[in-house]
Amino acid sequence: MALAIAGLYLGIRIAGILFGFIGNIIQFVVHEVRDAVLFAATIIRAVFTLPRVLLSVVLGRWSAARHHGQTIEVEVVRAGRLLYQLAIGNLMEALGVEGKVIIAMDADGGVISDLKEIEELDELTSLLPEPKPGQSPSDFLAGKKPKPAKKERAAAMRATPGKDKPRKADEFDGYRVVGSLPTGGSGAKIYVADLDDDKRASLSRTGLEVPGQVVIKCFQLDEGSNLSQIVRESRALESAKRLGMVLEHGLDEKRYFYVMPYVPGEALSRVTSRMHAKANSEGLANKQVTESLGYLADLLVTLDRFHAAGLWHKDVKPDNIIVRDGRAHLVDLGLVTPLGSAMTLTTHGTEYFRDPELVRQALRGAKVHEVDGARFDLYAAGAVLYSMIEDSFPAHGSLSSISKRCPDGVQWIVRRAMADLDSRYTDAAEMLADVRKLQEATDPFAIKPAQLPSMGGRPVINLPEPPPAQALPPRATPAAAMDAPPVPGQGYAPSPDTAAYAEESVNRMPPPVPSKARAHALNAAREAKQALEAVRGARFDARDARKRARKKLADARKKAAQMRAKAANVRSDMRKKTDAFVAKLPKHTRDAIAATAPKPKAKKMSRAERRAAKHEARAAKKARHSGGPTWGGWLALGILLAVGTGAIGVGVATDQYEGYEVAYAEQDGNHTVTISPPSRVISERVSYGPGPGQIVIHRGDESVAEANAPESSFHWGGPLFNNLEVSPAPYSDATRIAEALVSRGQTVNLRPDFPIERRRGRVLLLDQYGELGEDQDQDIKAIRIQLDAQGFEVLDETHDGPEEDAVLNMLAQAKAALGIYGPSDERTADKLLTMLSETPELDAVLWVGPSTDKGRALAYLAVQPYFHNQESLRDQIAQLRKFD
Amino acid sequence: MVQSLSSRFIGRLKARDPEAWFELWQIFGPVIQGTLTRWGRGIIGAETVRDLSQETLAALSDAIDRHDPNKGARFSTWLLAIARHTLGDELDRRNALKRGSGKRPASLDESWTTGKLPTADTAYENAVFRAKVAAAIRQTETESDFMDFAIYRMRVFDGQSGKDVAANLGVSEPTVSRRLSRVRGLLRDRLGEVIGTFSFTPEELEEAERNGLTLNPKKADDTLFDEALAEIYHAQVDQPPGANPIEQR
Repeated sequence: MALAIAGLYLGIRIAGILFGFIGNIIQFVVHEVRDAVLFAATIIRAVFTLPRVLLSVVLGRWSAARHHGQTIEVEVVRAGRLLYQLAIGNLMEALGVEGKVIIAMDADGGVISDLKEIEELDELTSLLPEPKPGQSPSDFLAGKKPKPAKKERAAAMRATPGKDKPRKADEFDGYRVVGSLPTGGSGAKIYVADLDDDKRASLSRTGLEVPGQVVIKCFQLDEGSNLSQIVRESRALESAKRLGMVLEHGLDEKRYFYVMPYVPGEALSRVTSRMHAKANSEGLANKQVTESLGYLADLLVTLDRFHAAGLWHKDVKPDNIIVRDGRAHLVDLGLVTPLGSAMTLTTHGTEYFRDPELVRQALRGAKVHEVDGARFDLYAAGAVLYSMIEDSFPAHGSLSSISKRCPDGVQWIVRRAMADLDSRYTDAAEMLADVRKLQEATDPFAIKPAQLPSMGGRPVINLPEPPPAQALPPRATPAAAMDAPPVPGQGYAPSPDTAAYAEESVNRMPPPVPSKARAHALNAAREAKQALEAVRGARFDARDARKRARKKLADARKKAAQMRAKAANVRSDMRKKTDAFVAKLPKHTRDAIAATAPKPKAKKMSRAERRAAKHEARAAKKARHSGGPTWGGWLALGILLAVGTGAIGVGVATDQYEGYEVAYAEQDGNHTVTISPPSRVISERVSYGPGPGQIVIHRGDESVAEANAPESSFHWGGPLFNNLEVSPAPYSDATRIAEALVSRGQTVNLRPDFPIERRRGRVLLLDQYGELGEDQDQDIKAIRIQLDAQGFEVLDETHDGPEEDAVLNMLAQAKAALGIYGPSDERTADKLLTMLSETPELDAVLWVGPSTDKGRALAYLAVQPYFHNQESLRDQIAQLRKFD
Repeated sequence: MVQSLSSRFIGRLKARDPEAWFELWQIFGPVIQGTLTRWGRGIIGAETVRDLSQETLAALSDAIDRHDPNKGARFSTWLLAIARHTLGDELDRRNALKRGSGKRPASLDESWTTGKLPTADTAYENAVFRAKVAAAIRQTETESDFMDFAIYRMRVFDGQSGKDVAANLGVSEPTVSRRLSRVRGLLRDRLGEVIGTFSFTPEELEEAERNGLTLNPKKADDTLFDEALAEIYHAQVDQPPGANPIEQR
């Protein structure tokens, strides 16, 4: 049995050895084939790479030649190793004789062959530090840190949110890029980097607190960045450096970059979303509200630092606020702008967190120093608070409603921060005081807006006035305040110890350079400068106004001269036409017209002549009273009575000429000429005509004639607002004939006067007729002639010259005053009167537009309030009512 | 008169007055964005909506010189036509890219002259009207005293009682009442102006009255006016916001 077992064991062993040998032979063959193929491939690759090396050398592409040379070197080394394996290595492995030679050397270079001594040496060396992965022996011996392995770097890159991977050219001296952040609106690459020891030491020597990691914002000119961007980004660089927000910067031909402390953490927008996920649908709980106020307080502290340093962040939004360890840090200096910059304001920023007023000012072309940038930051701070409360953004600006549960005081702060510029918090400190009051309260819901410090309530923490300059701490550690580690376990939950919290808060206040006092001084200086500029501007404006007034006077004189010349021409033309017209009339008509012609004015008498005439008249009177009428007198009276009686109501003659009916009549000593066009009649009488469709020329004792346009009627809507309806064709032939009478020396008013007293001599005409027919244009023309005849300057949209803008302004005001009610509404009247009282240079506003009655025109007139109670106006209106 | 007022505003647009364009954008921009979002739901994203609304304004800027009020269409309908064209153009472009069909998008003039006017539905017209009212409220907020408007907001928009408002702000109830009245008067004026400026047809002018905003203080009941205004305000601001904020540099 034992023999059998021994035989079995022996057999197994022999079989094992045999199979092992066979396995070794197979392995040997496989390895030989593999290595032979690899050797051949290596040789082929080396041979094919060699011409590339030679070609690169010939072309002078040294870098490529070096690269290919290194490839050949690697291939040759590999070929040698494969050759060794083919010749010896594989055979040795197959025979089971792998060379394991233990050779150790002592410090003097002697060989240590004693195994025990070697073991001791191994133990000692195991205690020594070993090179880390990725650390080359030379780096290890020089004490340099290992370069992270590719895998580690890739993992680091994956861990950061950005997608950018640095190119070789993006490496920065002294920094090792370990990741990137998402690219912002500027398009710059943003890398996260570690500092090497040298850089760390050099930054420490400048007194800065060196952060664990930094962010490098890099503008590559060959990747779309341009110089203007670089200039914009660098304009606040020095101030940011003073605040410790920028560590250093670099600029060369291809890129511009600056280095900032890296604040790892979570964006406030994400923190907000998480808070709301935990809260119920009604809104944040008390504790979360207080937490939100803590973040806001932190933001305001930082903004106060910015503003005190004369900087405007310009891009405050939840994504630019990083929360770390319960504290909020404002990041992204991309848009930071000096408050006193002379550059033109741009609209850069983020929608909904940017005050619309900023856009308006930018569109106006305002300069940065002309606006209060700090208040725009406060608007954004209000929007940030809104977003924390609502978990949304203020899509409707200041009108956005707060639907979630939140204290009235918080609502008030949001409203006040997002209010109009003049009503907004004046500075971050004022807003911070309100926030602190709520933050400090046990129940923020119990605090009413009236109790907030900005409303007169007692502040919880007054921002301290900065200490005198000599007492300032060293300026060397501004970054410390920005990135100060949080008080362990405190976070932003309100501390039970108010005083301690207040002290801590105050300690976290900005380093006092530049101080608050200096900021105030800067503000005062800025305001003084603005005031000076305003005074200077006013002086220039006054000079310009004088110039404009002089030019206006010259223009008016010129225009008056032109109008006089034009009128003379018209008179001359009309005289000729009328003479030609009258010459063709029958003789008796001509005689009648001649009889109605005004008598030439008596020659002006001298003083002696007047005295003589007076004496003569007195003598004649004395003679009349001294006796009864003479026979001659009674006879003359009888003749006159007979003639007068015979003349009553007699139409002397009627004639037709070119469609016009021409009639002459004499009654009660008044001569009447009636020229009737096919549809109209012209007559000449003392009183008004019998009705519509007539032109009536009035003749009075002073030979004053008046003519009325045909078919005109007048409706007066009230003492303030007057409504004039004009016929479709007022400027008719009859009117022309009436003009002809003017040319003959008679005074003729084409239309009844507009009841406007001429004080300033200007009427604003709102013309609504542009799109109507020719007749309506004639209406406007007639109204203009009327106004011109009354000596008014008509201001309308066609007005040009230096006052064009002013006239357009007045038109705009008048139109705005009219609003939607239309001209016949009492409210419109009130508004127009208000507008007139504020525009003393106008006597009236006349609106002309289409009537609801098709084809007719409608005019409304508003006159200055000082006319309203005057008798003359009433009389005029009463007189004109007769035309109803 | 209103025609003239509106024509004047069109004149300012034609003169490329930046202020006028900004006013137009403030009032019609959100409406256009909302409409494009509604039309393009499931097809285009928020960023595209934003781009298209800008393109609509750009197309309007090109076409404004050809605006003819005598066509009888509302300005807002015309704007809607341009927005629809812009969206259609974008979709055509996408389809052309997808299919490689090379379909040529119609020009704006073609689409305006040959195509029918888009039927501005009630939702759109209501949105335009609400935008006008919001603009008037915004103007009033700017022009009135902060405390006055805050009182009006708390009392009317937030629905607090007069007593609560007085207690919250530390003022007396008569003061609240007086300030409410002051803001209400200003609101009426501004509503009249804004609606007059941005209304181009008589029925647009009557929208205010139809929606309970009687602008004549003598004829109107203040409580009804406040209620109507609050209803319109909430319909305007409580709608879900459009695209997310975008950084503009």
